[in-house]
Amino acid sequence: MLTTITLFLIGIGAGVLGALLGIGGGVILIPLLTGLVGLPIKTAIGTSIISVIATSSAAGAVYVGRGLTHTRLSMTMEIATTLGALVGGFTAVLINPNLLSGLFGLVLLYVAYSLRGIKKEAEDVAPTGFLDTSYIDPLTGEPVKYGVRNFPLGMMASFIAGSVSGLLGIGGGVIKVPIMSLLMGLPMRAAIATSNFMIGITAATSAVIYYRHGYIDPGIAIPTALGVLLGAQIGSRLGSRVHSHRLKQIFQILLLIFAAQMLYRALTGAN
Amino acid sequence: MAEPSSDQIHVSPNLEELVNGIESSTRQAQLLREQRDVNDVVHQMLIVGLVVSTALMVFGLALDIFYRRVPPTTVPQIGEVLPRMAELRPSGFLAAGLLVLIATPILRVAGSIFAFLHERDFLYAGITAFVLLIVLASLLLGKG
Repeated sequence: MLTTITLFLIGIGAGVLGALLGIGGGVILIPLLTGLVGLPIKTAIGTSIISVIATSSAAGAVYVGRGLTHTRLSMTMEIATTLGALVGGFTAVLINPNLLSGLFGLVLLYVAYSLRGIKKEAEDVAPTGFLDTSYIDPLTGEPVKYGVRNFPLGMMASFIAGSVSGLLGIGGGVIKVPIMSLLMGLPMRAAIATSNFMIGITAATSAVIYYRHGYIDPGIAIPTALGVLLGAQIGSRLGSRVHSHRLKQIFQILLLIFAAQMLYRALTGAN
Repeated sequence: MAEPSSDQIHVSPNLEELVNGIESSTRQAQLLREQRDVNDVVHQMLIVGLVVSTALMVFGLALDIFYRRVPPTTVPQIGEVLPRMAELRPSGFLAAGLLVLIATPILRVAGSIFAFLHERDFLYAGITAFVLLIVLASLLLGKG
């Protein structure tokens, strides 16, 4: 009972932070579950993937309803992300847990780095004749038209994002969003919506593998996922009232601590 | 050239504005409509899946509290889920909630295939079917 409540609260915390920073909950959830609750890394990964599916479906429904998702592009890139998830998921169940902790530590370092002040998006958002589409900008009410560039590069990035997602139980948006907005010519809003849309099916692909191998512990995954869902709702409502710059700096420090914790576990074999 | 009457001067800018407004809103409506079929299907499937799975999970946890039991730590075999639900066992509802949650994006993909077929967009129906095939491969190979 106590554990259930603790997990629910951890889920709320990860959901709020994730929504405020625009990243999935997995990056925050896994270090908390291994560090605070003392779960084995593979159980933490199985728990995280369930939360990732829940938040992706909830946010996905909102974005698709607003017409922000490039449905056709995401369906195409899903070929690469699901193949990656298949490879990553099977690797995760076979691999040494210490190696998983080490890889997770490295991904955390990358996320901390990717949160630095990046240029918001590519300036030349325009139709390219390839998968051109448009959406109505929610702020201006004007249609924004754009097309897709560097498609093969995008497919490669999607495969990598899918593999990382399947291997480590995170969504992989930290890889896809920068590629889609900086290199593929998608406006930021569309990049976030489209990346998020792909995450659900990517995570489901590896979740099936984890489920069959017994890495999904319902007593842990369910209270956590329900907490993350609630937390993400709270976070998206708080969004406008929080100074995101300061929050980002605090979070970067937190990520470095998490990364150190994960790398320490990897080296000492405390899994 | 006759001077335009004062009526026309006042009326025409408004009229122009009105016509432009209608044109741009029909253009926007058309842009939205192009994607609407697939998006509508996807939108509704995601919401229904999420609501059903959340309800099952909350009910399962409530049953655990009602029976004063600790939630289970392992999931039952997929074939055992329905019998356990019939016996009102919490583990059945918790597993069903998890499975519906995992199935939601998969069903979304399957639903999109039909939506693309309905739009007669065979290329994307094929692409989406291929994605579904990869996911089904993980189901079949996942046994380990």
